[in-house]
Amino acid sequence: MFDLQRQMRNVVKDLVKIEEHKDLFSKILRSIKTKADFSSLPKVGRLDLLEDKLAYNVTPTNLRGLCVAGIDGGVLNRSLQCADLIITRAVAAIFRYESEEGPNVDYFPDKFPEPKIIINITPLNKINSEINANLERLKTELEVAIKVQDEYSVDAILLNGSLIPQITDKPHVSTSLLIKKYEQILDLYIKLYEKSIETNTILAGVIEDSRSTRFIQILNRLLPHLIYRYSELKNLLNFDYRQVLKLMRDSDFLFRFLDVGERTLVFSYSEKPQEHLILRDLEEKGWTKPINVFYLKTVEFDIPIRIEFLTFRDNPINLANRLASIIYPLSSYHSEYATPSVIIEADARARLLESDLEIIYDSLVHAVGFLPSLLKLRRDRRPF
Amino acid sequence: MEREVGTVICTSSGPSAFEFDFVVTNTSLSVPVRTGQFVEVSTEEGKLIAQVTEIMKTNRYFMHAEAVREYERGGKPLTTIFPVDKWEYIIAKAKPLAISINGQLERVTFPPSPGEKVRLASQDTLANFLGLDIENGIELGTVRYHNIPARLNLTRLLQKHVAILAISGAGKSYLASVLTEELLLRSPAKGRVAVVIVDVHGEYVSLAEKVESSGYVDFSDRVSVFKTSFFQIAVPQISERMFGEFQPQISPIQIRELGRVLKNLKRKMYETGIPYSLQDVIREIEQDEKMNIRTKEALLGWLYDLEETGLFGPVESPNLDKIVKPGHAAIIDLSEIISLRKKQILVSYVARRLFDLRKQEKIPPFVLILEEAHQFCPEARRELAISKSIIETIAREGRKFFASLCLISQRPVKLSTTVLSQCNTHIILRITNPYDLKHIGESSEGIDRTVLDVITTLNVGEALIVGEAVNFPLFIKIRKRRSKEPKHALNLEDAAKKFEKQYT
Ligand SMILES: Nc1ncnc2c1ncn2[C@@H]1O[C@H](COP(=O)(O)OP(=O)(O)O)[C@@H](O)[C@H]1O
Ligand SMILES: [Mg+2]
Repeated sequence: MFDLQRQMRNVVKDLVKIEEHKDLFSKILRSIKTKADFSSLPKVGRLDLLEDKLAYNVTPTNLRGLCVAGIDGGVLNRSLQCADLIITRAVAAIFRYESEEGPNVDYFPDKFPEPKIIINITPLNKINSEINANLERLKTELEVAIKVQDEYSVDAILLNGSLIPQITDKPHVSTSLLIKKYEQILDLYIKLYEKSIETNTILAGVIEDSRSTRFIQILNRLLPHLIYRYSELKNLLNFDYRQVLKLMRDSDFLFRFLDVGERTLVFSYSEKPQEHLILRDLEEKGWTKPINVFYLKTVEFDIPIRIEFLTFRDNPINLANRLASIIYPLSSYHSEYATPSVIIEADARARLLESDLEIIYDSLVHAVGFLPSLLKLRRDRRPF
Repeated sequence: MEREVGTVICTSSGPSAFEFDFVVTNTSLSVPVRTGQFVEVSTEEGKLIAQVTEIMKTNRYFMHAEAVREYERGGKPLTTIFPVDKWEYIIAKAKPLAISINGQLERVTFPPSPGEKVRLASQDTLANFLGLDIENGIELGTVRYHNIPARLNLTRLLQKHVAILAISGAGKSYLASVLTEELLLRSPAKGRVAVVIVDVHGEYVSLAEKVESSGYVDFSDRVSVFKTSFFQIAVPQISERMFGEFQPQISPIQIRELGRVLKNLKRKMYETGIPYSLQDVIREIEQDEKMNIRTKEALLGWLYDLEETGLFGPVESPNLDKIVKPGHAAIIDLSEIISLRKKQILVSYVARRLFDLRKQEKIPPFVLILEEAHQFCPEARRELAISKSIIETIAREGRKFFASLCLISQRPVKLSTTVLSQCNTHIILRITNPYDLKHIGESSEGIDRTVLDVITTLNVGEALIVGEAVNFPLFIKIRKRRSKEPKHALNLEDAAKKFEKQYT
């Protein structure tokens, strides 16, 4: 017989223990949250940090008079016998706050944009097929983000997701098709940055479920210095805090560390941009302006959101403060859900359903007749 | 082509030949489509006619109760946070009713295709489907939720009798007036019938009043009112059997004896040319020597009793064969009579005479509109029912002779089921009494639960037509009268004020 009960008990025991340590660690750090000042630490060790304290308060702004666009895309991908069928679309939901009654909302290019249909006939393995689909989504999303600035004058654009491609978006092997597409995406990102600078629009990426450990690494780097300056931190030596740090992600720690209405310090996207796979690619294309990051806790029971923003002209701290003061009210309506309303709306408009794909597939087959390439994979057409 | 209202969509259960859903097209109309409306869709088979059975709104922002509550926790509605209004969809369900193939109606065997446009049914489609007679019909109003005249074919409506059923105040008399107007407005070329109204409460007399004010049609030249104070039943027209009906306790022997007496009187009448009165009958019996004294006393008792009603005389007044004319209405105003028995005697006489005259083709085809029909033709055996048998006779046999009944009642349960079942068209206005509802559900064809539910919610001026006159249960909005309505009775406040003014 299985002894699931016993297994379960053990798992729970381990989990509880780890949680206790994480709590303890966070509690200790909270005690120096606003106190710890590392301006006296050697500069070389903190070139990537733009501020001297771990956390700052955010004052929400009155949205009245502002115009904020949320942008999101949706994609669905179906592998057929010898082709991939991809549908994708992206939407900008443009919220104009003119009255107390709520936002006036416009959509670009459309309330429900027509999905773009892409058929790829280059054979791709499963991973590359996913990368390909994702690059297609990014492409439509970026195009919308660029074009919307011609049509509307917005104060800030919030992308759902990162402000640069993810490592996972970068093709591993040199499938020429994917490399070309990836290059195009880089160009589009740069075009978007340039466009935002040209139109003087704040450009930010909002990441809901970040898996980053960048902030933890910063702590890892700073703590040995701080422990000897702040007596509150002495207790960290009572257990293996480094081990605990290893088990945590930024969101995990910051959920316990930040209070509602607080943000972390602003730091650069990467500690060593020259070594960062994507930033390096961008730089090769001539993009050198920094992309900075902070976390913001907007509601009590959701993890802080990660905000990446393009820094130009303005002082990055001023920019971060303005951005935080806009995103904070947009993300604070629901105590368990911190996604900004503009992105919730864009997501809902862009989302594609399997049934949409099914309809398109059927009309495709109907139009071209039966082609072996278009045969569904066997697993997708099991008779039973 | 009529306005587009939506697009057929796929659901887990449809579209099928029994039901389909459509997403309602955005319009500036606040109510773009309504339950009960007829729509049409093209299909491979032909033009499909369907009825909207359900309308639902959906909005993704309100699908999660908890989330709504959470977002509104600050006291501000969700609309201040999200463009909620832009997510509202209206989905309507429709039930296919028939397929029209070149005007020929067939059963639906094939569903409409997803993506097909749904339109409001056009006048042609609907008239064909419902069996309306747009050119020559009787216009009782408009098809509910459609801008299409509800014109019913005269023969289909009247030949097999009509019943108008509803609680009091629902508009039965109003509708009967509209029906009367329609019959009076017909041109001879379209075929005109005569109308006889048994007006229990004197509600129809205003039809005969001259109107000068514009906006009304003057019917005074086509309508005559007969007050009961001048009404006389011609005794020579009454057979011994009819006397037996007036006095239900009369025994068969007494009837036979009475018959003998009447025969004598009739013979004398033919000799002298002078019609006899009820007093003549009484005198004849008193002087009769062959008659058993008991029978004599009993008969005399019955006849004195009838004489006291003051309804009987030697000649008929008014002359029924004169007053019943095509395109004319004769209103018999019973409002001055209090006694139900007297009213029944009168109705019984009038109905029988009309039927006889019609059988002899001495009068044109007619409609007898009978208010408070349950009083004259009750279902209960114990109730006074002098007029029941003739009404049942006309109900059964009238259509052969084009003698039609239009029975009006607020208590269908109390109306003779024989008669009700012979009324092949039922026009039902608001009914709330559950017994009456049940009764109607059982006695009217084509009424199902959903239709019954609607009946309880009908407003004044709305009616359901089922049966012979239409192919499909039809809700209509009754048209406005062309004639002037009877002056409104005082309301309670005014009546009270008037009283105080008079006596203080
Ligand atoms: N179709 C209608 N349009 C306007 N008013 C109406 C309509 N039907 C009835 N009414 C009004 O409702 C009231 C009751 O109507 P009535 O015909 O006397 O009801 P019923 O005979 O069923 O008791 C009257 O005041 C009448 O004017
Ligand atoms: Mg009435």
